[in-house]
Amino acid sequence: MNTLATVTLFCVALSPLSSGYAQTLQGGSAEAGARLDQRVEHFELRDESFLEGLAKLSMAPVTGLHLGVEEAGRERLSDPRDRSVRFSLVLEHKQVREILDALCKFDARYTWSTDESSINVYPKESTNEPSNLLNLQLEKIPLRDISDAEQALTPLAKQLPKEQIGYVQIGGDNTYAKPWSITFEHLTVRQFINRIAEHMGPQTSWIWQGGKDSKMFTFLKGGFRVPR
Amino acid sequence: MWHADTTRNTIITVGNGGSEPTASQTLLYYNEGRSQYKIERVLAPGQQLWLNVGDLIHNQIPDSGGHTIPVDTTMGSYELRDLDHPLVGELFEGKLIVDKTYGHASYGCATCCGFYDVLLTPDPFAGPPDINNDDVIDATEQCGGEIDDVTGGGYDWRSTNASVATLPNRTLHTVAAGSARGSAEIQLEWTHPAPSCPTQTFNPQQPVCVGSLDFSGTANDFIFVGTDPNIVSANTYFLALASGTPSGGTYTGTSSNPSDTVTLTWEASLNLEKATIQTTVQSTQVGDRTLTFTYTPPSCTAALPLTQTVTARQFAYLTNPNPSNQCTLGHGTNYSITYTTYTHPDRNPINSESNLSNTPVTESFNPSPLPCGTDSGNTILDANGLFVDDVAQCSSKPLTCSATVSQYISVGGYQIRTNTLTFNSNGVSIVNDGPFQ
Repeated sequence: MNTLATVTLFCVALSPLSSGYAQTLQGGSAEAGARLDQRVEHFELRDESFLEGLAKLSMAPVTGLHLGVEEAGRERLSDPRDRSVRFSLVLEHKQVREILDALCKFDARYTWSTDESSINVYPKESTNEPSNLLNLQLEKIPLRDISDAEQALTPLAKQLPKEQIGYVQIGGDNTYAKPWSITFEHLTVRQFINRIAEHMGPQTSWIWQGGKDSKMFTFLKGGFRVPR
Repeated sequence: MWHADTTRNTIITVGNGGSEPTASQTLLYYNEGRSQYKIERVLAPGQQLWLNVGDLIHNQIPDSGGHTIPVDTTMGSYELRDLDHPLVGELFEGKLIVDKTYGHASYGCATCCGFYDVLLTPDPFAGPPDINNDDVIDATEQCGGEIDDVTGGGYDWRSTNASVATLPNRTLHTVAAGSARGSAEIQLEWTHPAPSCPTQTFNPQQPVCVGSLDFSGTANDFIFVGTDPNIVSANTYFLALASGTPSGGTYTGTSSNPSDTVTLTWEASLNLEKATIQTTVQSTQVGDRTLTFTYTPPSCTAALPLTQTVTARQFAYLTNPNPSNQCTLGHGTNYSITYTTYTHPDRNPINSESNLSNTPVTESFNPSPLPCGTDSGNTILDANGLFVDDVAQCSSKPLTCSATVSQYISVGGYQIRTNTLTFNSNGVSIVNDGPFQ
C-alpha cells in the first residue's frame, strides 16, 4: 500500500488547530516514525486473522507503541468475530511498518496510517466515509478531571447525541496516573480517541468493534488479546 | 591379660606413687570385652591395692556397682585409671600370673593409654566482635578412641593479635574485625613411644577470624513463591561486611528447603553481595524456612554466618471492595475494581514493602473468544501491590448483548480468583466464585 502518501494526506487533512495540540503534532511525526522504524525480532502467525495479528503486534516489545484499531463491521455485536480471512506468516527482524504492510496485504480490507504517536488501523471503506463516527469532526471538546479514557466518552456522547457511543471491557486497566483536564479543538473523533488513549501510558491500545446494532470501544494499557 | 582357671590365677597390684591421695579405678574386662567389673579405691601416698582375680570370681565378690563376674569366666583384659589425675597419672601397677600346677609365675604390666589429636576448639573460630567464647581443649584417648575434654589442664593461653581477640584463659574475647591465632599449652601422656606414655607438652592452636556479615537495608522475613522475574527480584537480600572485615573472600547462600535456588552476585556499584532466592515451594507454616549466608574472609578458613528466618508466601486469593458503577453514558455498568492480593500460609496482603510492582496479572475466560465483542488486556501489580481490573459494558444507547463468562485471574502465574460475569441489558454483573481465603 502507499503508506507514506496516505499517512501524509491524512494528517494534513485532519490537522487540529489548537496551538498546544499543533506543537504536539509537530513532535509527533518523528515519534510515529521512530515507532514504525523499530524492528520486531520474530513475528509469526499460524492460520490467524488480521485482528489476531494486530493483537500480537500490540504485545510486541515496541517502545511507545500506541495502536488504535477499528474492526470491520459485523452484522451484530453479539456475532462471532469475522475469521473468514486467515493466514500464516513468519517475519524475522522486520520493522513495524513492514509488519503492518504485510498484514494489510493478507487482509486487503484494511489499511493503516499514523496520527501523532498513534498508529491507526481501519477498514479502507472507512477512510473517506463521512458518516463513520471516527471521521466526524469535533470543534471543541473540553475534558475536566477525567480519571480514565472511558470517562472522556461522556462529553463526546453529549456532543454527538445521535451517535451510539459505548465501551466494553473485561480485564486490564485504563486509569490515568492522575485526573486530567484538557481542551481539544478541531480534530476528528479518531484523533480524539487517539489522544485520550495515548494519555494512559507509554504503550496503549484502543479497539472499536461491533456490528450495525452497536459498536463499542475498548481501551487498554499495553497490548490487547483476541482470544480465538 | 588376666587368667583365672583351674591351673592359673592372676594377682594385680595398684600403688599410689604420688605425694597425695588419689582415686584409683581398676576395670576388669571379660566376655570378650563386652562386660566389665569395676573397683574404685582411694589410695594414700605409697599405699597399694592387691586384687586376687581368682578370689573375686570364685567368691562372687561384687564390684562397686554390685556386679559379679560369672564363675565360668577364665580370662580377660584390664585397665587402670587415676581418676584424680586423668592427664598424667600417679599410679603404678604390677601383675603376677601363677601356674597352680607347676608353680611357675610370670610377670607383666598393662600398657598405658595416652592422648593424641590435641585440639583447641572451635578450630577455626569465626564470629563477630565483642563476644566471649569458652574454648575447649579436646584430646583423643588412645585405647577407647573417645574424645576427652582436657581444658582444665591448659595453661599459657594467648592470642597473637590482642587488637583482634584476647585469650587470657579459656575464654576467647573478640575485639575487632581481623585475624589472629589463639593457642594454649597442656601436658598430657602421649601415645609414643608405646607401650609407655611419656608426658608430652602439647601446643594446640586455633585460627581466629573476627568480623560480621550483615544485611544492608531491610531484610524481609518472607520470600515469594514463583518463577516470574518480578517475583524472583523481590526475593533479594543485600549482604554487607562490617567495617574492618577483610574483603575479597567467599560468600555462600543456602536455604533450608533444598529445592530453593540461591543465586549470589557481586553488585559492584553498591559494593555489596546480592543474594536472590527462587522457590516453588510454599511454606507450610509461618517462619518455617531459614536462609543461611556465610562469608569466609580470604585469610580465614572459617565462615562468618548470617541467617534469616522467612516464610515462603504464595499468591492465594484476592479481595476487593464493592465497586461503584462509573458508567455515565446512560446504559450499562462500568466497574473499576481494585484488587488486593493475599498469600498463604500467612494470609497477609501484598503491599508496598513486598517489592512486587510490575508482576503480571493475566486473565483467561470461558467461553473464549469472549462474547459481546470484548477484547481483554493484562495488567500489573502497582507499587503498592494492588491492581485495577475493569469490567464494563456501557453505552449511550440500549445494550444489545447478553452472555455469561467465567473470568479467571492469575497473579504471577498463580490463578487465584474466578468471577462469573453476566452481560445483559443492564450492563455486567460480577459474582465472586472464590477462593475466598
